[in-house]
Amino acid sequence: MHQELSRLMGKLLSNSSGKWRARIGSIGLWIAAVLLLMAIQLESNFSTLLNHSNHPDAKHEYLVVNRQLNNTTLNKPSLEEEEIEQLRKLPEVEAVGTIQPAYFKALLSVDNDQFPFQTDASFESVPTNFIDQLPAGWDWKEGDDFVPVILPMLFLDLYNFQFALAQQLPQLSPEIIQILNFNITLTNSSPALVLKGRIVGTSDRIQSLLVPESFMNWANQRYATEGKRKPSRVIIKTNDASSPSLNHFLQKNHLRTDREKTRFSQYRQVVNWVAGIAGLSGLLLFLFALLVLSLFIQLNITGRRDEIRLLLQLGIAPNQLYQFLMKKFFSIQILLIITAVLFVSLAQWMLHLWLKTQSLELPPFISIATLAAAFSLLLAIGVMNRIAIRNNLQSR
Amino acid sequence: MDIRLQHLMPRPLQDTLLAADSDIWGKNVAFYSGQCIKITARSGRGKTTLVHILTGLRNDYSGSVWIGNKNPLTCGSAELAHLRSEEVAIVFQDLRLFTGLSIRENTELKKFLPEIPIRENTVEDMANELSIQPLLNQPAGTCSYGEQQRAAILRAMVQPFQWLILDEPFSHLDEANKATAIRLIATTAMHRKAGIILLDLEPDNHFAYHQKFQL
Repeated sequence: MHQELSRLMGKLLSNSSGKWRARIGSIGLWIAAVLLLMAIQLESNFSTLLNHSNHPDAKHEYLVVNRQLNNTTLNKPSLEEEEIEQLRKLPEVEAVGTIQPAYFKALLSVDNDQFPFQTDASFESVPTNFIDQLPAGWDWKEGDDFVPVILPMLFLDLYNFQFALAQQLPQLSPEIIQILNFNITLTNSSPALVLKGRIVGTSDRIQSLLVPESFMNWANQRYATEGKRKPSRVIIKTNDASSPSLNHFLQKNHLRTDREKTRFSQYRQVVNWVAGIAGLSGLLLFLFALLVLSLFIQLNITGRRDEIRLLLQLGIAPNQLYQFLMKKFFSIQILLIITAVLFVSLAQWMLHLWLKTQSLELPPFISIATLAAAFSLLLAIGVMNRIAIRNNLQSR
Repeated sequence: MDIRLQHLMPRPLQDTLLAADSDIWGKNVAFYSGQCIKITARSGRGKTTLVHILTGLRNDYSGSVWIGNKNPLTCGSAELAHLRSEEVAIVFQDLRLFTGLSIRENTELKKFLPEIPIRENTVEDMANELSIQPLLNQPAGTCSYGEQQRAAILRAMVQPFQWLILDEPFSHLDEANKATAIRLIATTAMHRKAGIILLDLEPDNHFAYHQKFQL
């Protein structure tokens, strides 16, 4: 369109009446856009804070889940197959592994004059992909008389910092205990079966003496004191330990896990509520602003119906008129959304600087999701403009 | 570009028009490219209705109109816009100027509407000839009716056209201004090889008419 023609049309179609509606609509649109974008950015920031490490495994959490023990569940700790299946189907759960307990009695002993040691022991086994640091030689097959064992670091810490100090025994480093050979005696058989054992690694993840699954299956089959039982503990690999829905599921089914790892869930719920309320208010305000703006467009076109009719009679194409009006209304709205994005970006930058002083890391820029939301808002406004202008022009 | 009217009859005026004899309503008529046409009619015989039908502003009629190969009734909005901005220029009886715009702005609106605005005769030259050059920057609403009528003629002349339709264009002009306007219109139409259709209440010899009709 010729620049002069555009100027003249602007002069003809400017409308002083209803300007306050346009201002209210524009302010509402801006606040709505800021609220919506901030809600999305808040969610994004919280996710970043939860998954702050770049290490791929840091994005996952391993939780040992067992029945909450109380007066009614005492002696009935087993987990139903259906519950395990439901756990497996939760979106936050990537894998579930059964922790298989030993149903046989075992005795650990060390034949060493300097460090005589003997204790009853109970083993468990988990699938190898749930072990945090898989040691070399983690394998056992029937006929082997050597059984590798993983010791939880918690046990070693208890010994070193409580038991050893109190009993004036030597402290043991992880390296030292890995050179100690001991006997594992399965006492259910007659005569008792004696196997060789050695600590081959330590684990921070699972607080059990672990043996290879193949050994556990074999020993349970041969030396179990009773028939096969249902598992009472499982280990889950989750990408979101703080997920409120996972925690809700655990509570509903009277299951428990390490509270320390799921404590973010409560904060997360609060953040979800805040973001939800901000988002919903923003959405409602946005819809209201769209309504006001569409009424403004209608008023603007109706108020200039004589001029529009004459322009059409003189030979302006309806499409030219549509493009002119679209440019007139949409350019302001684009500007509003851009300033809303800039405002949220500034808030994010300031939050980034402040959290840095609190030793928390947040990206200095707004997330892709927030930007995508801003584009979606623009798209929605554009569609509203198109419908409002076309409908009102057609009725002229 | 010829104009053909085939059994044209505006529905709201049907009873009135059928009662009187007309050279145009209900007949087959052709206006040939470049001709000067005079249509004379008393008040109420549908002069303005005919202008509106020719430019696609009305569609409540039977019969058909062909402007070249375009039927305004079936034209799309873009084709109709092209017809009004580049092929057929009109001086409306009620002038239809934007009273809030100056005369210059009213004419420029029409001048810049076509994709390629015509370059011959500047607005100033034509306004000078019509004796409204000093009023060019004055809002049209503040001008006298005669001045507005000359502004409406000026506006019609600055667009490209193959037909110029004039609906009682000189009703408020004195003889001197009328003569000047007629001279400018005739010269411009001849220069562009365009036809003229003049609709008026009384017979006249303003132009060298090729055909005369009674509406």
